[in-house]
Order: sequence, then C-alpha cells, then structure tokens
Amino acid sequence: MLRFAAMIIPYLFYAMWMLPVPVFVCLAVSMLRRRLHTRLPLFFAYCLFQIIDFGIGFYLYHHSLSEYSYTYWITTGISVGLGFGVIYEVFTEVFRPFIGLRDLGRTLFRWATLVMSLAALMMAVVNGPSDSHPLLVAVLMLGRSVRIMQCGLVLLMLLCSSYLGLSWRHRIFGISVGFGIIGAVDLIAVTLMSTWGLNAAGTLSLVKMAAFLFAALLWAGYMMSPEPERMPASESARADQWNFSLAAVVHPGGAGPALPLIQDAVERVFEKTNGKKNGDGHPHLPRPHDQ
Amino acid sequence: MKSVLTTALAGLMLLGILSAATPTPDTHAKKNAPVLMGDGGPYPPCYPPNCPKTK
Repeated sequence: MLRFAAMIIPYLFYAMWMLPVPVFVCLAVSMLRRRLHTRLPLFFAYCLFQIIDFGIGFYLYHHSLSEYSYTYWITTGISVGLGFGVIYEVFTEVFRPFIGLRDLGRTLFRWATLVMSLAALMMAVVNGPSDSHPLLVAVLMLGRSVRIMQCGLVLLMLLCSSYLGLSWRHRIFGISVGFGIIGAVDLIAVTLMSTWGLNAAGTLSLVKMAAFLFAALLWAGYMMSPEPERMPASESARADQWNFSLAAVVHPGGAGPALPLIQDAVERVFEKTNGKKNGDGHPHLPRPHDQ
Repeated sequence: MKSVLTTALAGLMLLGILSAATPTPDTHAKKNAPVLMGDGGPYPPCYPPNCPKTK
C-alpha cells in the first residue's frame, strides 16, 4: 500500500500542478466570449496571470530551486495583489444595485485596507528579535491579511446573500467561494508548515494545489453556465431599507434618498414598455452582463 | 444539501481565520525559511542559500 502511494504521489503532484492550466485557458476563453472580461477585468487578469505563472514556475522548479524560491516571492506578491483587487471587484459588484450601501461599502473597504496595511507595517517594525528582514515580515503579514479577507468575504456572502438579492448561482458568489477555499486551505497549510517544518512542504503543497484546482474548476463552471437575473433592489426589502437610510445620511435634505427608488421605478416602467413592444410578454430585459 | 454545504464552507472559512491566530509565518524563520503563501504551484521545498545548486 505504501509502495503504491509512493508510486502514485509524483504523478498526482504533477497532475495537480498542471491541470489548472487548461482549466484557466477555458475560463479565459469563456470570459472573452461572454464579454465578462470587461465586467470583471481583475479576475480576468488573475486567470491570465496563473497561466503565465505556471510557465515560469514549472521551468524554474526543474532548472534551479533557488531561482524558483526567489521567483515564488515575486509571483506570489503579484497573485495576492490581484486576488486583493478581485475582492474589491466582487465587493463593488455585490453592492452595485444599492447606491447607499455601495458608498458605505467602498469607504469601509478603503479603511479596512489602510488598517490592514498599517497592522502589517507595525508587525514588521515591532517584530523584535527575528532572523527575517522587516520587509519580509510585512509582505507575509499582508499576504495573510488578504487571505483572511478572502475568507471573510465568503462568510459575508453566506450570511447576507439573501438580503442582497444574490443566490448560489451568481458568478460573484462562485468567485468568492473559490478564493475563500484557496485562502482557508493556504492559511491552514502555512500554519501546519510553521509547526512541522519544510519536511511537510510536499504533502501540504499537494493539498494546496488540490484546493487551487478545485477553485479553478468551480470558476470555470460558474463562467460557462448562465447566470440568473439578480433580484431587483426593491424586492430585497431589508437591504433596500438600509440603502434608503444610508442614502438619506449621505444626502441629507436633498433629493438623494429618493434617487434609488426613482431609478428603480423608471427601470421597471422601461422594462414593461419594452416587453410589450417586443411582444414576448417577458417583464425583464437582458442586461449586457447577464449572459 | 444546501445547508450542509453552507455549514461546511463556513466551518472551513472559520478554521482558516482561526489558524491565522496561531503562530505567525515568521515562526519558521528560526529555520531560515519563512513560510510563504501562494496560489498555484508547490511551496518552495528549500530557501536560499540552503537550496542545492541543481536539482
């Protein structure tokens, strides 16, 4: 049994490493065909970067482990940066129908980014006696913070999706879940490796790569299947109430608070009229991104 | 089915967040190998200058 496992592990290792590449190629092509790259440009860039990253990493891993280690730093930095950008993209998309919530969400996100960066900087400065360079510690802390944010975003989606008119079949939900799985597995793997040492790197790499492959397949599935239309803001009563209240706070005494309602009413009248003109009786018009 | 998936997913996310509260990645620095996070590809099996010249 052990002999069989020893035989199969190298094949499994390469399969886990190489399989996400064709999946990302299909994903990128599907996004281009559905014009989703204009709606989710950072996620599209993230997918393309994974293909390039594989090419560089695979060559260096077999050429020089030292160079692979240095390059891993750079590519991980870019990848985590793009991942952070995707969180912002998802965040904006989640609150898109709610003007008041969207403004609050953006402000909260900026503040969270600032606090996260300051915390990483502080950890690097106050690190005390350590063999590592402060910059190294700051990068590691930032990476860890981004991973925590990815997990937090999934929890936000699970808790608030019904209030925000989102379902499990929406693409932004799938994107968040994929990043959440990668983030959680990475956080757990890194913590275990801190305890077990580099001897466990092979096994934990396998687990991490399996999670990455799963996320890639999940994203491909979401991008290739049709997306249901999002519930109008007016139908998610609680979110609409929050939205209205927040709009009133942001625009006190002006016409601001009524704007979302007016906008929604105009949209519905327009959709009804257009539905009658088309003669199909369908109350909703397909939006450019609902493909 | 959906509730099972939701619970499993929430549990994994919480476990991930909680694991971040345990030793920082720098703990590994004592072995001259700070633990890195990354998306695709395996973790580096060694860190310079402890890497062999060629594999």
